[in-house]
Amino acid sequence: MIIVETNKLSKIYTHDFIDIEHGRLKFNFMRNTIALNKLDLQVHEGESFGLLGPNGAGKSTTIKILMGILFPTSGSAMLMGKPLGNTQVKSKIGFLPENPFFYDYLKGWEFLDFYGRLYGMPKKQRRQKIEELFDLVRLPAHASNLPLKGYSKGMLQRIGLAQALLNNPQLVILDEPQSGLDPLGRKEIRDIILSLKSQGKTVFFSSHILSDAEMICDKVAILNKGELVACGELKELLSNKVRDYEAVVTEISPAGVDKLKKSATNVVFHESEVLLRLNSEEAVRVLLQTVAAGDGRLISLTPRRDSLEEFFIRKVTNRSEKQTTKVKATKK
Amino acid sequence: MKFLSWRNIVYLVVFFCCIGFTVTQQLKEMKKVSLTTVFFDKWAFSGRSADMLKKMSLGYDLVLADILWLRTIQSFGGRGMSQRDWKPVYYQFDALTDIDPSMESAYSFGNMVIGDEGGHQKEGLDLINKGMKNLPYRYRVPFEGMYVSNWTLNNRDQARWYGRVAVKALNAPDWLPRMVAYLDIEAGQYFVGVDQYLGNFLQGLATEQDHILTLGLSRLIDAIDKWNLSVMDKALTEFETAHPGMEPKQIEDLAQTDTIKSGYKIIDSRRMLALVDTIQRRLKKDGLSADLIKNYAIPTKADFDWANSVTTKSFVLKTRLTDLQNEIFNLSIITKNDLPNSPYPSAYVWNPMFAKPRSGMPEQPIMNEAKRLETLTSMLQSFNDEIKNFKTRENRLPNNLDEIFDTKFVTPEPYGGEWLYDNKTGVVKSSTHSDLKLPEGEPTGEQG
Amino acid sequence: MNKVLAVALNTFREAVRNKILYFLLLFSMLIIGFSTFLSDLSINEAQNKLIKDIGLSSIDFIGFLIAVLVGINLIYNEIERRTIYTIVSKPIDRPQFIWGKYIGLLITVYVNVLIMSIVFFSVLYFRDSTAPDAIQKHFQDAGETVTSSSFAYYWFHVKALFISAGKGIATIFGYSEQITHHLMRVVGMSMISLAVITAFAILYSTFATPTLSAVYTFLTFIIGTMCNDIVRYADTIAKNANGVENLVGVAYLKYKLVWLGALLVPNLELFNKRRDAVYGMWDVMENPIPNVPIDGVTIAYGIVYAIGVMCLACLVFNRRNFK
Repeated sequence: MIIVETNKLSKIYTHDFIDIEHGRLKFNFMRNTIALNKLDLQVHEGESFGLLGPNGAGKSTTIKILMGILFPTSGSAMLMGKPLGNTQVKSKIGFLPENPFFYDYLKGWEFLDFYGRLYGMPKKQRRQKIEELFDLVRLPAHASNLPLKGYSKGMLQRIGLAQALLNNPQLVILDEPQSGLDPLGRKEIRDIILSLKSQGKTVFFSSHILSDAEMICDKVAILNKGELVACGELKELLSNKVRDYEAVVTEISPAGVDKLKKSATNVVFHESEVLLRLNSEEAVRVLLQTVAAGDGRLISLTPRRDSLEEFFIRKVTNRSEKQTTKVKATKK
Repeated sequence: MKFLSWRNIVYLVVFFCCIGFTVTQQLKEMKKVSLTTVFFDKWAFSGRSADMLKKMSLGYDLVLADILWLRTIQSFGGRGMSQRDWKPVYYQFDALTDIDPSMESAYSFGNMVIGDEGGHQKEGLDLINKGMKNLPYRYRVPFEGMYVSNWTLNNRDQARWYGRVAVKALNAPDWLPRMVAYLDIEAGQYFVGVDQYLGNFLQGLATEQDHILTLGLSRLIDAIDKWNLSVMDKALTEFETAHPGMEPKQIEDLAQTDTIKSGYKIIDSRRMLALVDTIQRRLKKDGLSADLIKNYAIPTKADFDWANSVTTKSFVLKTRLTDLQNEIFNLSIITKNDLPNSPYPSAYVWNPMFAKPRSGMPEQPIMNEAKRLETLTSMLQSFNDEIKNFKTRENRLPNNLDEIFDTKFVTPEPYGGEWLYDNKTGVVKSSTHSDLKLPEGEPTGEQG
Repeated sequence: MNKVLAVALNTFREAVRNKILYFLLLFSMLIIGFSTFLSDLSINEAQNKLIKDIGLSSIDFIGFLIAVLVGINLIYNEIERRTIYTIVSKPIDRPQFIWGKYIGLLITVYVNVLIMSIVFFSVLYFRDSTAPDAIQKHFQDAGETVTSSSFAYYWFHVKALFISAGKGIATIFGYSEQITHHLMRVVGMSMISLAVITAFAILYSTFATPTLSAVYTFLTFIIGTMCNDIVRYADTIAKNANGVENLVGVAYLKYKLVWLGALLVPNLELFNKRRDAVYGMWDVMENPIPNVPIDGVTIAYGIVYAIGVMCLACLVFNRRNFK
């Protein structure tokens, strides 16, 4: 079942006619900023979907539109087959915004209790769930009675996640869940997302930490300047083909280096070690022959596959060269 | 220490210079303001601005009025009113009553302060008129106007006009219509007094409170007495004008004056008492006890017969004695053309001793017989005491009464007789009451 | 409905932490206390008129201040601090959220108004029971003579204090003596006008910054109390033209617009029953017992108006994009 679907979703911001920029008055004629341009997306049930892109690509905008924080200029979207704003659907969704701000005068348990009431959960169920969640997100026990004012960034992120999971949602939407966290925190988020996935939930999140996304996503969509530049299953987008090899040799003679230089794309000398990037099997064979002939010692040989980051950079820089013209405002 | 860097010091110095300059300028301005004293007149209290103030008060006009009221009280409080300040105070009252037209005490107090104390009755009455317009259903303000017109301005017609307005008020008390009616009568104040005390007396009877009814009755009788005395005083003045230099020898001489002969309205106390008694009995209550009225003129059988006849014919008996106050009062008024009857047991007599003011004694020659006898007794007593003192001092009896007193002894005898002094026995007697027994006291020398 | 109450309770919790609330409450106590001193300066025969005037007015005005100063931040802060993001994602409608905010603010205002009223009534009862005649009567009945420095005198006052406080609380629930007859009705009507003002505060808070909201709400309050004067202004326009029929062109338009304005703005003077409480059946009695006539239609007007304004607020809020 398609859980999230957008159809030509667009969001265009109209600037004020008169604005002050760089200390000077500026008159804007038809100055529109396109945050999203006719976005088409589909997320199936049970997937973990990553919405990726550089800053300002429109990831947060998409999520905010889905959650009803912003209204689209044109186009439509559906959650769980129902149009946006459906309350019943919302009771099956959990949402964690980017850099969340919460009522800082509430204590930890009060905070979750409040949201629980908004879900319509009865008191007993709320109390039980709050305890479970505190364990799940690994918040210390004393945090329960501590006002949110006293929470650290990591703790806030955790309790934010807790409120997103409060109602045992089918779809969990996370906006930059790893922003501002240390590597340990990021790992914990990754673990939680994976565990959610294993429970059969759909996870839809945006991120610009591509390495992590690579690890946990089934499907990704890459946005740039409001346009969808790539979308699909990760393994389809990133061919399994080996792109190049990275070899480290030592005690190699200059002659041997010269020979290898012909077939290597990158040679870096570091003390006694030489780092080579070989982009064909032929080049590898040459290397192995050289080493087997006794010229140098092979320390490591690593095949490198296409990484998401490289794919991403490729797509993004490609695209930005094509976009040179202004786009007119589309009617609402 | 970093704060005291050169830059900061410079800024500090410049700052104080600026402050110094601005403060000195302001001082000069303020001094100019305090020299002008008439600021009250100018700001905020001329005609239209009270309206503006009321709008600015945003629905809290009652509080604004209260604050202005307090200010007004304070502004004339201890100092009293002087000619200079009355105008601003008048404006304050004016503005105050514009903002809160229902503040009754502002009108009445303002009238008292501006009119009575300040002497500007016209402006006081302006306030009264304003109050009458804004409080059309209350009696107090026009009543004050009536009071001022009558007693201070001596304008009966104006007083009557205010009185009529007051009477129409919804909360006009019962006594008001009567009081307004009195304005037509010359001896109005006595009507008021008698009416008032009659009310107290009846109330005491109705509520069976002995203290109140006894007091009320005594004051009622006293008021009737004073009323009678005022009539006779008028007759006396007429007599003295007609016979200059002469005094009446007896009270009956006054009966020939026009004041008495042409007829005057007066209360007959015995009739009144008889009436009250009869009504009480008809209301199945106890009548007036003998103990209660023993000091006053007792109603006669004729009075009771009259009371009976009157209560059967003209009344519709209401259930309460106090409701009948009006009727009782009116029925007790009679027109007499001879001397008034004393409400006390003894009749009115002439006591020449008090015909002229003598060394502290008031000029009150008309009194009850009982009082006259008392006067005689006390005079004799004091004479005999003086003689005793003389004897102790001089060791002999005085030859005549002139020796006892510092001045020539010219006090007339209360009954018009003579003082008889026997210088052998040292006893003074009255020619008219030669065998008067003096009350128990010190023995007066040898009994003669 | 439960969700609306959850938001309301949360709003109340947030409002209670606002320090300004306590300053305003303290200020109103000071005013009521001060009015007792002021009343001694006055020579009014009217018993306690000054205290009643100042007390009732300050309850009304401080209630207004609380509604404004706490209310202007409510919606705006939610949007600015982005705490609204998580709310909107929950199964709660935007209108439900706004209504929750409104009810929470209303509860805050009402709780404070009731506290101020209790103090006010207690002061009145205390003054009534410790007036010189009352003291005289009390001690005479007991057959004691007392001087102002004796223990019995102070004990009498202490007892009176506690009894007055108790009676003050009871007055909220309908108890009344002559001195506080119908005063609770005045406070009740005042509370309805506060409901209208609070609705406006919420409305403005949905789209304006706090300062602007405060200014708008204050202006609304001023216009509301001057509603009757607006009509009079229209009448003067007509009078200047010698009659409504003679109005032409611009003047006619002005007249119609002014009348339209008078019809639309909230007539807050309708809820000002302070004059009735102080002057009562002034027309008929010597020392009137206050009579505050309560009109069901007026109450309905207030409530319906507040609901209307809240609907407008919901409309505005529904259309808002939260940046």
